[in-house]
Amino acid sequence: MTAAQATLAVAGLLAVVSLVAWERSAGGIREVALVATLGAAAAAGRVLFAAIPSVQPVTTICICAGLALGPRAGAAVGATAALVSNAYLGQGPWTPWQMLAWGLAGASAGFARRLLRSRRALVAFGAIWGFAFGAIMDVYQLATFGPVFSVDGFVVTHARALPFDLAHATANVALLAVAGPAVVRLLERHARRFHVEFIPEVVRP
Amino acid sequence: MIARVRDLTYRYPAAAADAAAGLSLDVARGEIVLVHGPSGGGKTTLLRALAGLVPHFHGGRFGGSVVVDGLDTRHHDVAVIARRAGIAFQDAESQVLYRSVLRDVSFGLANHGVSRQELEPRARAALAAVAAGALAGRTTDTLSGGELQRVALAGVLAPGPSLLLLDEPSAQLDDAGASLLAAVLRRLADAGTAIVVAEHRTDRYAGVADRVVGIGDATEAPEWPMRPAGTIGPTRLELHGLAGGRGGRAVFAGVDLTVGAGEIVAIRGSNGAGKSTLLRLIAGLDAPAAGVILLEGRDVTGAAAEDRYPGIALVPQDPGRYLLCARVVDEVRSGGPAAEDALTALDLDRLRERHPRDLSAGERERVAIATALAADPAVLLLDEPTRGMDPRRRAALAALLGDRAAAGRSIVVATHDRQLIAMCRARSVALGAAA
Repeated sequence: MTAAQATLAVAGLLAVVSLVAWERSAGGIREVALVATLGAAAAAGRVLFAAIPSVQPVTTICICAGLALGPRAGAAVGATAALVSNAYLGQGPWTPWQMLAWGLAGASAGFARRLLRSRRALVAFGAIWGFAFGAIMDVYQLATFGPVFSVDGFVVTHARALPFDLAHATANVALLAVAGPAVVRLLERHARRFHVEFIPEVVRP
Repeated sequence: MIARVRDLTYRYPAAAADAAAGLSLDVARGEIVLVHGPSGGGKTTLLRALAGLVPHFHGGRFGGSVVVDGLDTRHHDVAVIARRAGIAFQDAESQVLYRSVLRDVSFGLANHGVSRQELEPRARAALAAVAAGALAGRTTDTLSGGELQRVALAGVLAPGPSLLLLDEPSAQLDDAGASLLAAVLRRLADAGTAIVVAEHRTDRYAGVADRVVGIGDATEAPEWPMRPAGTIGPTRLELHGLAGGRGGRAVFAGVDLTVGAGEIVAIRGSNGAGKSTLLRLIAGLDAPAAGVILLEGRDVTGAAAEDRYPGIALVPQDPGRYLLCARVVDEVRSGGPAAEDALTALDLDRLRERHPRDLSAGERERVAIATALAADPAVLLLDEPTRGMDPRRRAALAALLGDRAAAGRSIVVATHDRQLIAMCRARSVALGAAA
């Protein structure tokens, strides 16, 4: 088994396992509906910006979803957005990798929600994900097209991808600075509906 | 007993107070129960609880029990309850989904598993039952607010629910439509359907309701105070030969109207006569097909809406859609400099920190009116402003409009509300074949 096949299998497996885990979780139909809507909106935004390499709103939407709705929903939005948008932009061995990378962006925002309360932290987080997303896709690039799957190869690939990652990070920073906190507030308001508390009945003797 | 509500106590997520506190109600088959009470008093919450939307869709804190057709809503999904209980929301705009009227009415039927061949005849029958048979071939974007309300109602009636829940179903209907609706409801009830109607205008169901239930602090309807007759100043707004349409469909032509300073004019007309369209033309949201609009002698026919504002301000029919800010106070401030006065005038001080979307329909309407008043417009246009308002609020609104008129402002109000027209001493103008 080559490095390409092995890593593809691992990425695909992770993406599928996380989607299945999410579907079986207790979020219910309302969370599925919201995640599907956000995933579709992100995918549409990606297709809209397809002409500008690496500039797209998917990362931003994943981060906001993870932040407002938790890691599980954030991961699902990322995976959905990648899968759906590639129906337009082209499916291939990169699809599971993109699902994984955006899923991780959403999930990590969910796990780090306590640190991301300020606009500044949120923007910085977006910048980091501009490069982190690139790094994950560099692994795919290197494993699939080579020439060698090594640390040195990764450094060279990542360095050469710098302009694209910079564009990605810049787009994230701009979108999160302008719309991030507002989108998070909007989603949090919506997510309040997911929780029902039943007042226990008073049993009279 | 088709529905049994026991000690229903409910609070919306993040709300400061309970929307319902210890409500109990029994509804028998074949019974029409009319529920009235003040704006924000819990009428809508009661209906939502009977449909299972409270708590399953809205979340929040739920106590007591609601049993519909033997199903405790705490333990059953909305989808299951929806097979027994049909609900028509207060704002029909949010209930209508499709472009085609026929398809929209069929939507509920299709979800009930009705076969394809049966869909169309049953949808047509439901439309005919609410005297909207003629709308079957139309698209929903060409419908007026009142027509939309009938279409939404047909969609709820079509599957034949055993419990029918209607939230202010006649708020936008003309008198003919409202009495027809009352007759339709009586017929359905006689055939065994249980019906709960939340309505401020109880007079419209005088002959058909079996029981009237007041919830919240159901205050007595006040005396209808008439504003003192004022003097009408020089002409402020003139319409000459105005023609307009909706969604590419011509609705009226050759409308002439003159409104003086300090004058209140009420535009009446049956559903679909073009009342809302006329107000939109005056505000500059749509361009007229023909005619001229003069504001203080100036031709503004070609001017954009933002250039007519704040000379002309419009409170549209469904203002909830146009409220953009996260707090009531920010929304009203976005209207203009006189925000604080407007907040006080509409009795919104208590709600200033709330999110507009968390308010009841009547409260949202007041926020929209306050936002328009904050700009102190020379011409204020109001489209069905008493929608969702209890009698006390309607009297207060009439008094407020009277004050504006006394201060020399001109007001044009499109409404079916005869009491409002009387209280304002408005000059009544009929559009089309008036009802």
